[in-house]
Amino acid sequence: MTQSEQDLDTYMAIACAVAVEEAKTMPTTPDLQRRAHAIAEGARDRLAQMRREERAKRPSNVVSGAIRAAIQMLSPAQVLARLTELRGHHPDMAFAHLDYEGMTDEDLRSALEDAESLIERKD
Amino acid sequence: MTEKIDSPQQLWRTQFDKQLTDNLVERILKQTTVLIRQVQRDTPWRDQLGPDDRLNNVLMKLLEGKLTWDPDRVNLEGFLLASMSREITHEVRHATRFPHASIDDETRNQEQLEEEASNALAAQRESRNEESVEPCWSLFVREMRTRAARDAGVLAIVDAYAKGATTRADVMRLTGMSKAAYHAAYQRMVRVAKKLDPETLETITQAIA
Repeated sequence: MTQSEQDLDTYMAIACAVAVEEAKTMPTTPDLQRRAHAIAEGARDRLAQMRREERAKRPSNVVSGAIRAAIQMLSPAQVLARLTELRGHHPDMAFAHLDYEGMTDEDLRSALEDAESLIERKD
Repeated sequence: MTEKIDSPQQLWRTQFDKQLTDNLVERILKQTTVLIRQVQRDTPWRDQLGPDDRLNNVLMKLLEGKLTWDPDRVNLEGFLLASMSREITHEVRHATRFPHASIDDETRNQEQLEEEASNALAAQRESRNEESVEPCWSLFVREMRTRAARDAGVLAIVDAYAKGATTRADVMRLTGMSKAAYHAAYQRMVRVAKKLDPETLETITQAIA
């Protein structure tokens, strides 16, 4: 950095300090308030839009509800065996029904479909 | 792409949401207006954008990731003013090297413009060799130091700026000043700087010559 460049940076830092202090005594006008609001709103809108776009790109945890044919063909005992196997491999997996009590055959197949789908997505 | 709650991006966005108020934007618009007026007064640079567009541009650059803000180091107000100041600094430097001449100016013909451009380049080559004329900002800084020669606090801040410090925290770290000492010296520095208008600098230049 040359001396002139260093002086320019120093000058600008001093100019900023003066600007900050002088701005404190500047009167506010309705026009200034309107402009400030428009700029702030524009930035907030842009950030909200970016967040929406990022959310849309993320994989969803909502499963379709359709149960694949391979699971439809399993007997309730086979479904239970597979669910137990999956719980062994993924101890952090939680089910709404403790020990599958009170679940119909269709509920069991649906639970297995959800579990398989989530594991596939994770992989 | 997933974004964790505690990722740096999420953290600055949370701070951005908190700090970006209409009042903050209003303050920055005032500061930028004064800054532009002051730099135009002291240097050959002329603003082509205005405070609103300048602020909007740096906000968009920040949101798009072209600028990085560390909320732990400086607040949003300081960051946005410093970002605009950096852009103006770049333009001032460029304006001095390449004075503006519009090719759309119908009152001047192409030959005239080409001649002016080659003259400007020749002058640039000469000035590089001789470095004869002290830029107005160098004169300003030199005069600041002269006027604050007996004020160690002001000199310490000016020295810190020369070393690249831009925030209060940077200056305090470099100078070892307490918060109170910094605040008092900062106010004195602003008072000295306000007295240095172009007429004063012109008088000094003539006196030196």
